Amino acid sequence: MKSRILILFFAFFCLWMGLIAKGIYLQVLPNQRLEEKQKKQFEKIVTLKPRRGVISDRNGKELAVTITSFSLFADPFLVTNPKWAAQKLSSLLNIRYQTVYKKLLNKKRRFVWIKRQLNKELKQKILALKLVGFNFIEEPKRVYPSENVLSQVLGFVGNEGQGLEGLEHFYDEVLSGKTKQLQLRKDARGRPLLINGQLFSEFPDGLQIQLSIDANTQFYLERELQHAIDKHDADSALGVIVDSDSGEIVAMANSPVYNSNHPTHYSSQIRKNRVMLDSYEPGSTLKTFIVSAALKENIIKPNTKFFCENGEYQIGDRVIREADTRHNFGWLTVSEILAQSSNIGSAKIAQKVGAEKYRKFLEDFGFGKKIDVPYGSESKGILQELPWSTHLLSNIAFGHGISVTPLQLVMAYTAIANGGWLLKPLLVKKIYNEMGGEEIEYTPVKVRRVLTESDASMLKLMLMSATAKEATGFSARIKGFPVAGKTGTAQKVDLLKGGYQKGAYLASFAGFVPANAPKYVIYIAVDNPRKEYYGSQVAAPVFSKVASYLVRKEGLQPVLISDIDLINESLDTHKSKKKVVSEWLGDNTPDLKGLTLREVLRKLNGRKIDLDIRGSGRVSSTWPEAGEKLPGNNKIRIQLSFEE
Amino acid sequence: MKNRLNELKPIISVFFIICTLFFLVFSKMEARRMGYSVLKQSRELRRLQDNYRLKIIEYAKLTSPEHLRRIAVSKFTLSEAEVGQIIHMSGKQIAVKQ
Repeated sequence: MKSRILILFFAFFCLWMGLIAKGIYLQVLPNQRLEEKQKKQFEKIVTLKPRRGVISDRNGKELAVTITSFSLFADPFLVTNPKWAAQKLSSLLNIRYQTVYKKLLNKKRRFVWIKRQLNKELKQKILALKLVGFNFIEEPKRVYPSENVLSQVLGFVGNEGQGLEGLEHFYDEVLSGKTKQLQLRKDARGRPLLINGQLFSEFPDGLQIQLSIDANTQFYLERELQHAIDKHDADSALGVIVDSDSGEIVAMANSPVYNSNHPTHYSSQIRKNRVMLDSYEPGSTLKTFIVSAALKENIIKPNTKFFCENGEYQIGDRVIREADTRHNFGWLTVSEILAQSSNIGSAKIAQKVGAEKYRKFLEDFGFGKKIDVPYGSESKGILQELPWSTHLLSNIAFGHGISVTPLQLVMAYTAIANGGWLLKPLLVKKIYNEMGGEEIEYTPVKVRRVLTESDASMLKLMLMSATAKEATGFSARIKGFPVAGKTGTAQKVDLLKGGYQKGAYLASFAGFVPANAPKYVIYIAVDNPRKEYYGSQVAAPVFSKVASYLVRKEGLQPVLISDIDLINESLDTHKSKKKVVSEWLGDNTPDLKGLTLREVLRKLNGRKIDLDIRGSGRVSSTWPEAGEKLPGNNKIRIQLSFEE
Repeated sequence: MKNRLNELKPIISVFFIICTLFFLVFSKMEARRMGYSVLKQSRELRRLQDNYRLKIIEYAKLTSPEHLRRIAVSKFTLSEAEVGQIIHMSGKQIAVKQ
C-alpha cells in the first residue's frame, strides 16, 4: 500500500515538476520564437497619421485646409456581382461604367482603387449599397476653400498628400508633420490598452503657417489683373503689393489664376509664380534708379537740366530714341526726365554717373542677385558684369539690357518709399502649432540702407511729378491721395531668335500711395497687351484701381481735398437711382426679361396680374412668353435667373 | 487582552493583504477602464476636429470673395461699382469720389 502511495506521489511529483519546468521554459528562459508569437498576440502597433497644417492669411482666413476623405477600393476576387456593382458605382461616383467594370473583372488583382478622396456623404451612400468586396481607406485631402485665390503662391499637393509646388512644396516638412507609431498591448477584442492616454490624444499634426497676404486684397488684385488681360487682349499680368514699412507682401498675384483644387487641369506655365521666378527687362520703371544713383553721388539736383537731343541721340554707331517717336524733347530737368520718361535724358544721367558706380548702386538695391527668400525658388535676374560699353550703360539706364524679377523691383521701390531702407520681403509671418508650444514669428528684416532719407524724400517728390497732369503716370492717380510712381513700357526679348520681339511689350507701373506718407508699394505688369501697350495706358489704370481700393480698405484720410469733397451733414448720400421702367398697358404678356423683381412690380403696377415667381435675381423667362396672349386667369409665371 | 490581540494579528494581516490585493486589482481595472474611455474620447475628439474643419471649409467657401461677388451679382442683382460711383468716406464730412 505504502509503495503504491509512493509511486502515485512520485508520478504526481514528476508531472508537477514537468509542468514547472515547462513553465520556466516558457516564462523565464529567453526564446525568440515565443517572444515573436507573444508580440503578435498581445501587441498592437497604432499609427497616428499627421494632418497637414493649415495655411491662413494675415487675418486668419484659411487658404489651405486638410480634411479626412475616404478612398474606395475593391478586391475583385471577392466581388460577387461586378456588373451590378459597376452600374451602381459609376452612376454614384460619376465615372464611366466600363472603367469600373474592367477593374472588377480582373480577379487576379486583389486590390484596385475605384475612386479616391470621397466625402462622407458619398461614403454613406456607398455603404448603404452593401457591396461585397469593397472597402474604404481614410486619407487626408487638401482643400483650398478660396479656390483661385493665391494659387500660384500656395501651390498644391499630390494624391499622397506631398507638397508639389509653391509654399506647399517649400514648407512640406513643416506642414506635413511626422507619422507617430505607438506600440501598445491589446486586449482580447484587439483594443489597445493605454498606459499613457496623452500619447494617444496628442496628434502629430503638421505646423500651421500664417502668411502676410490679405485674401481680400489678393482677390481684388487678381480680379483687376484679369480685367486688364481681357481689356487689352494680353497674355498674362502680375502684381505685387508690399507694406512699405515692414516689407510684408500683402498680395502677390499672377493672372490668369488656376484652381488649386484641380491643378492638373492647368498648364505648368499658368501654375508658375512669375513674380519670383520670371525676370524681365523692366523698361522705364528702372529710370528711377539712375536718378537715385545720380542724387546719391551728388551729380544732379531735381532741377538740373539735360539736353535731350530733340529725340535722337547718337552713341557710336547706334541711335537712342524716345519710346514715343512723337517726343522730341529739348532741354528737360531731371524731374521732367522722370515725368516724361525720357530715354535720352536717362542715358545722359547714366553717363555722368558712370558704369561702375551705377552697377554697384543697382547691386545695393538688390538687382542681379537672389533676395534669398525663405519661401520658394526665385530668379536672380541678369545684371551684366563690367565693363559696360557706353551704349549698354545708356540702355540699362532706361531698363533694357538688364533683367529683374517683379519682386526685386517692388522691393527696390519699397526702399524709396520707406526713406531709404532695403527690406527683405516677408511672406510667412508665423509658423506655429495649433495646440500651443512651437512658434516661430518672423519680423521685418532691414538688409541695408541704400539711400539717405533726404535723397529718398527728393525722389518721392520727383516720382509724384511723374503722375502729374502732363506726365506719363497721370492715369495712376487716385482722387484725394497723392501718388508717386513710374510707368514702364519694355520691348520683350525674343528668346528664340535673339533681339526683341516685334510688337510685343511689357507694360508696367511701379509706385506707392499715399506719396506723402507711403503705406503701400504696388507693382503692376501686363504681359504682351495687344490693343494698347504703353504702361500709362495699360498698367497705370490698374494701379489706380488697386491703390484706390487699398486706401479705402485701410480707411486712410484723404489729403488732396477740395470743397466738392466736403459734404453737408444733412445731405442724403444714399439717394437711390431708380431705373426708368416703362409702364405696360397692353393685353398681351409684357417683355419682362432682364428686369429685377422690383422693376417687374413697377411695370405691372395697377394691373390685376397673378404672379408665380420662381428663383431669385433677374427675370430669365416668362410663361406665357412676351407678346403672347395672357391666359384667362391673368397668371404669369416668372422664372428668375438664380434658382434656389 | 494582549493575548487576544496577538491571536487576531494573523487574521488582521491576512485581511490587510487581501484588501491590498483587492485595491491593486481594482486600480488596475480602473486604469484599464479609463484607458478605454481615453481611447473613445480621443476618437471623438478626432471626429469633432474633422467636423470642425469641414465647417471651416464651408465657412471659408461661403465667405470667399469670388462667391460673395457671384451672389451679389446674380442673386441680389447688384452691378459692380464703376469709376465715379465709389465714394471714399473718411474723417468728418469728407467724401471723395473715386
